[in-house]
Amino acid sequence: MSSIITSAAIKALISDQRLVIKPLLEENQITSVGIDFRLGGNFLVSVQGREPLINASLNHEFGRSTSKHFFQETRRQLGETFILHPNQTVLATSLEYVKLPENYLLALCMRSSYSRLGLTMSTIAQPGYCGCLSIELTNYNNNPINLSIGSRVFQGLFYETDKESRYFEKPRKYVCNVRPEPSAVINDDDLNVLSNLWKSNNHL
Amino acid sequence: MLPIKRLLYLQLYQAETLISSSKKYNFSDKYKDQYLKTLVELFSAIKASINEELDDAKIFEKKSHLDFIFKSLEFLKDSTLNTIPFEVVGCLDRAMSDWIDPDKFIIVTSLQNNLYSFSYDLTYAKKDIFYTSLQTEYGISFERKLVQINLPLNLSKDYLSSVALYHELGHFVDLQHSITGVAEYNISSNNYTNKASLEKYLPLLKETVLDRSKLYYHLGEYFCDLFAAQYIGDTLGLFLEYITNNSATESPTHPSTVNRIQVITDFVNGNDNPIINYLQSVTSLITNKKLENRFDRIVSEDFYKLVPYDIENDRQLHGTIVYGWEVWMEDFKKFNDGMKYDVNLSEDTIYRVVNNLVEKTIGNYFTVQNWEKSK
Repeated sequence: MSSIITSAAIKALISDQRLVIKPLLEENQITSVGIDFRLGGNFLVSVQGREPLINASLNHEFGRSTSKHFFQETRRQLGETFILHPNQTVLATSLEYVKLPENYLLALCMRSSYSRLGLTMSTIAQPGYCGCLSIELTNYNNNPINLSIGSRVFQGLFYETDKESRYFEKPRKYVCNVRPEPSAVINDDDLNVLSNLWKSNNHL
Repeated sequence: MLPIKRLLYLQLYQAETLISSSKKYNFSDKYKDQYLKTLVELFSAIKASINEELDDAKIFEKKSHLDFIFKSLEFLKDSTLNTIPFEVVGCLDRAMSDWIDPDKFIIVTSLQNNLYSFSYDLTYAKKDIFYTSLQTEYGISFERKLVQINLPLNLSKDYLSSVALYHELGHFVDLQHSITGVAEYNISSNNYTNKASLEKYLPLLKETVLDRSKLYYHLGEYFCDLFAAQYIGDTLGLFLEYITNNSATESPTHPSTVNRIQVITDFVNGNDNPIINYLQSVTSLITNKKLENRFDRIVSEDFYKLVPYDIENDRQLHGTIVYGWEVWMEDFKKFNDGMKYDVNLSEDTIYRVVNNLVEKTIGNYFTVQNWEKSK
């Protein structure tokens, strides 16, 4: 049965270079059951696009717009701040670049101090993943929240899997990213099948 | 009103529109903020000084002052934190500080639409008289001046191409020390007695009438190639060879690529070369510094394991770009070795991976330094 590993095991993985975290600015980011990750300085901010909607489908009755048209890139330096407005979603990354062992899955969630402000996120990184961790942040508070770049906003929990999986044995959509990347959902093969089905049903 | 005066007013209000939109620029850099603030003050002073009494000479003087506003804003606009290639400029800053007082200058970039349009904008590089005239006329002085580097918009985050920027920085350093100016004068005025030794690299010296302007440009290009090679080795030669089709023909402003690459190669390998010896002697005489290797070659499997490298010092900072080139020029199968199994990475993915890893390697170096400094 999979279990969450604790600080000694995390330190051992780092020491053996099976787990890479760069930079790890303070050793005390390694907590008793995981690692605190810091907010990076690159953002994709959701904006009102000219297209009617984000099309996460290959059916084109509403046009062909992808999510990248609805996000604008912006950057901050370490120590500066980023204001997240109510109900706004931004794509951010961790300051840290990580490379995961091939038998550990990383589950990311907010640190509770930030959850209490009304911020939410939820994402995982698969075993063997390389890159800065991509994070979608949403502010459900009624007020804007000012966040410091470099602050410990997220925490990661490591789950050991029952066997190793080789991340790069098949083509990957997100490889060694150091900035937030817009969703590549329309590259999912299943969407082709579903769109063909839709066309067939509608005699298109 | 004279037509020429109406045109001055046209330029004045064009500049006012630009000044107005400059208020949204966010540099995250107090020196650029200060520069912009001074520029806005200068504009207000220019505006207040324009009146119906100006004669033609004064009108053209005001025009030159407004031109300065336009040129400065062009570079500041493309130097906000969102637009500037921050990591590359950080590397150039460190290289610049080896040669001139960095507290007097700010590196800014202008993003061009042309591919390979790397260049250095000389317009206000060493116009001390111009800055003095602003001080005299309006009582306004700039604490720091701009180092204006043009680079292609589409390659602004391409770290392999950034080797060309070291060459462009060389033009600025050269101009501040007048190295090429002295080198050209020594030859033209026959102070340098061994001219014949330079003819292979400066064939124009064989001509009956010496084209001094061409000599100046060619010496400048050789100096900048050597300047860049100190920090990024022979990678500039690789890039140059490709973008100029390894041309054996010289132009009025540039020596032949074949000769330039030979000079870079000889410098990197420590071979005796007359043009290197000559420029070395002039550089040492003026700056008391040597043209020498100023980077450390990184020997690491980190990029092949898809992780950033931990830089230890500025020599490795410049060496990171060389490392990126070495990985790009190697057999991509080495990624399989680094990962210990057949990695499924397409060539376009490897291009992005190399650029991303160079960016993160450099970025982490500055992050760790800033963190330690502020603790």
